[in-house]
Amino acid sequence: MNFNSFPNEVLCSIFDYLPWKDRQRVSLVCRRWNAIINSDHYLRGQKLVLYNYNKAKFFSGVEVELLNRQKNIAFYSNAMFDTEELLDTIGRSFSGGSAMVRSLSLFLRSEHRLARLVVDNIPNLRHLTELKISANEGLTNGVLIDSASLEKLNISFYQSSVCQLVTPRLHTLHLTVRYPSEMELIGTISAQLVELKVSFISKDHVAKLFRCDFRSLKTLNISLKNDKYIAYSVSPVHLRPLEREAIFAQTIVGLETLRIVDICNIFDIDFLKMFAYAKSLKALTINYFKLVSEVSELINGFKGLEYLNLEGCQRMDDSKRLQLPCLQTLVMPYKQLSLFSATQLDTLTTLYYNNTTKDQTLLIKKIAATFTNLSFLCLQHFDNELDRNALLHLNLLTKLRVLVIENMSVSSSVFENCPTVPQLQRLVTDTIVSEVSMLDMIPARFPSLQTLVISNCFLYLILEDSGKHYTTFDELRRQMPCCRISTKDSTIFTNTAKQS
Amino acid sequence: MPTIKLQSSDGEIFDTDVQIAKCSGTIKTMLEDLGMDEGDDEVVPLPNVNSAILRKVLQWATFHKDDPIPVEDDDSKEKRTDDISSWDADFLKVDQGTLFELILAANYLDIKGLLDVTCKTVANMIKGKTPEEIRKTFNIKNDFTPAEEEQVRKENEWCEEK
Repeated sequence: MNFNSFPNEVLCSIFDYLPWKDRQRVSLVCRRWNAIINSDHYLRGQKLVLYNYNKAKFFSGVEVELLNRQKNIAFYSNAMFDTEELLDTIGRSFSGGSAMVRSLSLFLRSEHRLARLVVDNIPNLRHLTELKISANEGLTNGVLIDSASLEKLNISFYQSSVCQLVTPRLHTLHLTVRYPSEMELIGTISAQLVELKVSFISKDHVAKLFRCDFRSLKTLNISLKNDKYIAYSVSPVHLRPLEREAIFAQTIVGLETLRIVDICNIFDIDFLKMFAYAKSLKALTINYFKLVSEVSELINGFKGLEYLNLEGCQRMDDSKRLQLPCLQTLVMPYKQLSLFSATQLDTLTTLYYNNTTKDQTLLIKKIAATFTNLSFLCLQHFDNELDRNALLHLNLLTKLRVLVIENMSVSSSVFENCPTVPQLQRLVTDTIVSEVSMLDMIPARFPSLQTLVISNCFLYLILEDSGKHYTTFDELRRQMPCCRISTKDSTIFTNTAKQS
Repeated sequence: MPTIKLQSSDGEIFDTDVQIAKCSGTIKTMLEDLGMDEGDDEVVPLPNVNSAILRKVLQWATFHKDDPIPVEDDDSKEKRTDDISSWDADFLKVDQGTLFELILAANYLDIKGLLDVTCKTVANMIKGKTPEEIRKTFNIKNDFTPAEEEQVRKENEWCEEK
């Protein structure tokens, strides 16, 4: 019986568990292993990085053949380091028509010979489906991207550059908008897009979004940031009036996923109202908004909503309750439980919840009364410690399969004061601080646990008498022989050294 | 409880719970395709698995027969190897030959849970070792010429994980 009597698929499933550093070493073991690691199976998930950005050159020695068979290539390049060797190799590979590259990323300092060479050869890259271009300096002659195969495009120009697209199969565009030319680009291509992710660095251009034709669009992702280096002036001409009967309102009805992350609080409420036409919406994320009654009303208007994420939102008004008959997943805004005493949320199976109260004895009771069908509960970012009685009523959630506790401090007796929950399959504690005795009761309380993840946790123990017993991770593993236990990046800290 | 008979490559017959035998995708499909009824006295031959290994496989399957259907892992990108349950770790404290035969059997019988945990165990034996140490551990011959080896070493230098 020898390792090399394994069929390739078995070797692959073993190598799959190795991080990249080990895969490199493995490829040096013998010819067969090298052939597997460097086979299509792995190249698909792997990137060839050609780094010619500063004095460290990683390019020298790459041959046309090697370049031809890569499916995923990234160039980090700088005009100062264009070499004849590099230009010649890329020119021969990319213009030859046999380059296999599917995903290409270009990180450019400026426009230069290499950048031009790659862009001009895009029509010859017959397998290219994904392209990412980001440039620090403006491309004075602009960019024409002409590709019959391209499906996904990601563009970010730090300085104004005109970009033209001849891309009949393009369906996904990620664009950073800093200048008017980028909004015009969306306008020319919007009707064929299925997914659009747009990061506005200046608010000035947002209104133009509502003039686009989005007849194919299913997913729209808007994020707003404010770059202090770009002149910030809102011109009223651009903002109003929003034409309610315009092409946007007619074509947005097919939208299924909308995500608006506005960390600067500059997204206009009138903009938001334009999405009232998106009657097919299934998933909605609005983060860092003030939940005034107009916003709550708008949300209640999406009757088919299955996913709602209100992280970071603040509640401004008590009168509106959520009434969403299909909702399955909810990420709670801050300070909110009273808002959801409505009964229309019993379809909910997944809840991300945060809390500000000190006494959490009735916490689960309240959750269970409102959300009777929860199978996944994530308690996160509590203002106070998850207290000793917080899980007192956990057995009221009769369908709970997964419990996640993350990003907070946790009382060591939280599981001691918790009933046995035989149906729980997965328990995750991520980035929490507690005493190590928190672990003691886990095996008894969750007898059917299949996975236990203790990730990035700090569990401490102050030993008053040095003989005191405490549960180690190894002991936990012994007590729960059927459970897969991962304790990545977690520490048990004791002060024994100090004491002795 | 309904049982079926499994026959190892060396002829030994194992009377096995149908429910346990069916954790093997291969046997499950075989039973469904052949329309074998539980009362039948037919024997399912497993020509690629000897009796010692089949006994181990059935021991594993018996212990894991009540495993719930796995909850979908959200962190599917990074495959971990640090979460082998202690029962499995003890079960796999066997010599290398047995471990390898278990892998081949799990692959042939299509028992995902067993294949996963055995592959993880082998991956853990590879992690952090130099090519030479790996060759020693698994008794693999270096069939590269020095020039080829240098070439592979060079190719690796440009690669970076996505």
